Amino acid sequence: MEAIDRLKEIVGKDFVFTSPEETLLYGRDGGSTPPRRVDAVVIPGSVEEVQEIVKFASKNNIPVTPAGAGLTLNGLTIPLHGGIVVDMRRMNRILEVNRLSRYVVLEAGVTQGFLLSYLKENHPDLMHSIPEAPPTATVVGNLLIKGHGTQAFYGENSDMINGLEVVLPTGELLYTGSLSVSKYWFTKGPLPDLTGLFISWFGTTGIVTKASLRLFPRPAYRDSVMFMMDQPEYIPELIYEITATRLFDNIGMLGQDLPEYLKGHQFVGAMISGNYEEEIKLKKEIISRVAEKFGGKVLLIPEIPDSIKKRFMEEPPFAAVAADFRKGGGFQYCGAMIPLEKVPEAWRKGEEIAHKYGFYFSCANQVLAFGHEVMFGFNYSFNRADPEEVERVGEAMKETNDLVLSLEGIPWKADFYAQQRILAKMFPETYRLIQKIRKTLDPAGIMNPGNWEKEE
Amino acid sequence: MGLEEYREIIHRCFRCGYCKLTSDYNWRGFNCPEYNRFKVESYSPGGMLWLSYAAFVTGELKPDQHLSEIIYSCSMCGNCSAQCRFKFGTMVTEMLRRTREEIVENHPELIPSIVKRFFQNVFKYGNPYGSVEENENLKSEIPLFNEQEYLLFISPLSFFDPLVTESALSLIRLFKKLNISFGTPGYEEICDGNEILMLGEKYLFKEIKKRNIEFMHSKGVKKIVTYSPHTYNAMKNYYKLEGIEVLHYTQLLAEKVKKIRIKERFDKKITYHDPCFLGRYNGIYEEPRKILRYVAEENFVEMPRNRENSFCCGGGGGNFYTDFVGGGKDSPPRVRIREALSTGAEVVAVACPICKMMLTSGVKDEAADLNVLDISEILLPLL
Ligand SMILES: Cc1cc2nc3c(=O)[nH]c(=O)nc-3n(C[C@H](O)[C@H](O)[C@H](O)COP(=O)(O)OP(=O)(O)OC[C@H]3O[C@@H](n4cnc5c(N)ncnc54)[C@H](O)[C@@H]3O)c2cc1C
Ligand code: SF4
Ligand code: SF4
Repeated sequence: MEAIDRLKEIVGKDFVFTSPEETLLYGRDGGSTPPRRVDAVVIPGSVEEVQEIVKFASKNNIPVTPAGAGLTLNGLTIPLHGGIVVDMRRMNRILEVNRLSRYVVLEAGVTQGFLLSYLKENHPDLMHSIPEAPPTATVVGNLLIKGHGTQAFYGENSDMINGLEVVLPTGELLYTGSLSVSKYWFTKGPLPDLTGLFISWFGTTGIVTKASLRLFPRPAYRDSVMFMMDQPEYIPELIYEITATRLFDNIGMLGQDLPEYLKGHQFVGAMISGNYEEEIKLKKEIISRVAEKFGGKVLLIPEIPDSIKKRFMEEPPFAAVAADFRKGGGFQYCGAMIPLEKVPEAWRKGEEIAHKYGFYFSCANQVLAFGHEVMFGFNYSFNRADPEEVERVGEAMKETNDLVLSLEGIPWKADFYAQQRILAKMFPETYRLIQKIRKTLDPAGIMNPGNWEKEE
Repeated sequence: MGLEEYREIIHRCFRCGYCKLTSDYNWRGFNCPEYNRFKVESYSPGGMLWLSYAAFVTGELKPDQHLSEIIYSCSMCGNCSAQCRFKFGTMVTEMLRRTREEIVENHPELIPSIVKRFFQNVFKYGNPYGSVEENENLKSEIPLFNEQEYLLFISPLSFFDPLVTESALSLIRLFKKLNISFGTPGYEEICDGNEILMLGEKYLFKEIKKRNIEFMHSKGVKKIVTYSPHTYNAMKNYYKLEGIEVLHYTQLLAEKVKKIRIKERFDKKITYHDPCFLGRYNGIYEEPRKILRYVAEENFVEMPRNRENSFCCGGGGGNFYTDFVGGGKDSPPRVRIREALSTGAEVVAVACPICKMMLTSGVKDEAADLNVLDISEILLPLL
C-alpha cells in the first residue's frame, strides 16, 4: 500500500489505478496471449514523473512495463512478472515541426492518428510513414518495435528516428542523436549510435519520453498498380523488378482463402505517388510494364476494385477489419522479417500451418526498402469467446514462429515464446552482450523483466 | 433482458480504439469524453465493452460498485457508435446502455446511490430533483396547452436551474413574438424519460412514457416541439407516437428563419456546440446552423470538432446529475470551452438545457471570457 501511496504522490491520485476493473485490461490484448497479472497502472504526465517512477521502482525492485496503445497483439505490454504498467498516452504533445529539415519532435503518447491530423492541418505538405496499425497506436511504440509504414521505400520507421529522449532505468535522462550536441534534432548524428539501445528492446532499457522523427514531402496524388499470380514463386523476381524501377513508395502483398475467388492467388500492390498527374500516369505505365517480363505468369490487374484500393491507400488502412473475420474480436499475426527469396516457402508453409490448425489462410506482407527485407505477416483471426480456438491460435503462432526461424527469418515484435526461440538460436557472445548492456543500464533488473532473457 | 441480446456480439470488440477518435482523428484530443477525462483503458468504449463481457458474460471479473461507477461514467454521447469501423459498430453505445440495464435488472445492489436517487425522484416527483416549487416568473409566462398548434415541452430542469429557466423563458418569449401557436404542460410537465432509459431503468421509462402519452392524448395533441434534445430523442425514437409530429425547436425556427425580420445582425463572434441527442442521435446538424448563419453571418465560426465529430459536454446519460466524470482540467465542459476559445468566439450557442448547464460550468472553471447562450437567447434580442 505504501508503494501505491508513493506512486500517487508522484503522478497524482487520479492517475494510479489498482482495482481489478482498472488493471484487467492491461493484462490482456487483442491477441491470444493468456491474461497476466498487473498490480498497478500508472499514467505519468511529465518526464520528471517518469523519472520518479523508475527511481522508486528501482529502489524497491518493482517491475516496470512501459506501454503505448498495447497494439502489438503479441503481449509485449503485458508484464511477465506483474508490477507497474506505465501507460505513456497522457504525454501527448507535438512539440515542434521543423519544416525545412523535415522533422517532428513529439512526446511518447502521441498517436498515429493525431500526428496524421496535426500535419494535415498545420503542415499539409509533410507526412510521416504511417503504419497499418489503428490510428490509436502510438508513434513511439511503433518506432521502438522497428515498425514500418507508407514510406517503406525509405526503410523502416525506426530508421527515420533522429534521436530519443529516454529515462534510463535508474532515473537519469539521456538524449540520443544530434540533440545531445546541437539545438537541432535533425540527425542521429555522426556520433556513436545510442538510439539502437532502445529499438526492439521492448522497454527493457528505459522509457522513451520524446522522439525526433523524420517527415517526408506529402505528394499531391497517390495511386497503385496491382499484380496477381497463382504461384508465389514469382514474387521475389517480381519485387526485384518493381524495386529496380525506383518509382514506388511502398510494396505490399496479400493472400487469403476468403472470399473463395481469391484463394490460391497472390496479389502484389505497388503504391506510387507524385505531384503531377502525368507523373503518376508515367510511373504506373513503367511499373505495369514489369509484368511483361513474366511471360503471362504474372498478370496486371487493369482496374483495381475500389474496396481493394481503399484497403491499400487509406491512411491508415483499416487492417483491423481482420479481427471481425470470425465475428470474434480476436486477431494476432506472426509478423516476421524474412529474406526476399524465402517468400514463396513462407507462403506455402504458412498456408499449411493455417489449414492444419483449422484456420483460413491469410497473409499481409510488406517489402521494406528495396526488398532488403520482407515483413511477412501470417494472420490469424479468431473468436475470443471460444477458449479452444484461442488456444489453437497460440499453438499455430508457435509453429509459425518456428517456421520463420527455420527459414532463416526472425520473428518481429516477438512474443515470449518467439523470444525464447530466437535467444536459443542466437550467437552466444551476442546474447551475453545484450545481458551485459541490460545489467549496466538496469542494475535492479526492473524493466520489463523476462523479456529478452532466457527462461531459467 | 439486460445484455441478453448482445451476448453473442459484445466480445467482437477488438479494442482498436477508433471509437475514441473523430472520423479525421482530430489531434485536439480523444473524442470519448470519458476516456479523455480518465486516460485509462477501463473508461474507454472498448474497455467498457471488455469489462462488461468479463463481468456479465464470462464471469471472470466480479462486478462491484466501482465497476458500476465506471459504466455509469459514460455520457452516452454516441461517438463510439459513430466511429467504430466494424459492422457491429452502430450497436456499441447501445451495448453500453444495455450493460446498465443488466446492472439495474440483475445486480440492483450495484446501482450507485445517486442513480437510485435519480430513479426514485423521477418516479415520485416526475423529475430528478424532487418536489417542484413554482417559480412565479416562469409561471406567469407559461401558456398552458389548450388546443394550440404545438405542445411545447420545456423540460422540468427549467423549474430548478436558473440558467435553464432563463433560456426556457426566452424560448417561450420568442415563440410568442413569432406568433407560434403553442402551449405547455406547465408545472404538470414531467421528465421525458430519456435519461432514465440511458441509465438502464427501462421499466420506469415505460411508466414515464405512459404518463406522458396519456397527457398528450387527454389534450388531443397533434404536434410537439421540445426545448431539450433529450426530450426530442425520447419522444421521437422511443414513444412510438402515432399521428403526433415531434420537432425540436431548432427545426421549427429553421423553417421560419428566412421570414423572421431581425433589427440587426448578431455582432459577436459565435460558435455552435452540437448536442449529442440532437446531432449524433438524430442527425439534426444543419437547422441550428441555418439560424445562426442567418443572424450572425460571417461572425459564425465552426469549432474544429463539429457535427458528427462534436465533443460532448459530458452531461448526457444522467451525468449532469450524477457527475461520475467529475471535474479537473480535462473534464468535458472545460475541454470544450478551451476548444471554443481557440476559435476566437465570444459566444457559444447551444440548443440544449444540459449543454447550457455543463458548458457554463466549464466557462466558470476555465475563468473564460465567453458566454454560453441558447439559440433562443441569441435570437430574441434581435427581433
Ligand atoms: C491491425 C493492425 C495492423 C498493424 N499494422 C502494422 C503495420 O503496418 N506496421 C507496423 O509497424 N505495425 C503494425 N501493427 C503493429 C503495432 O500495433 C504497431 O506497430 C503499433 O504502432 C505499436 O504501437 P503501440 O502504441 O500499440 O505500442 P505498444 O504495443 O504499446 O508498445 C510496443 C513495445 O514498445 C514498448 N514501448 C511502448 N512505449 C514505450 C516507451 N515510451 N518507452 C519504452 N518502451 C515503450 C512496449 O513495452 C512494447 O514492448 C499493426 C497492429 C494491428 C493491430
Ligand atoms: S468499439 Fe469498435 S472501434 Fe472501439 S475498440 Fe471496439 S472494435 Fe474498436
Ligand atoms: S457513448 Fe460517448 S462517453 Fe460513452 S463510451 Fe461512447 S464515446 Fe465514450
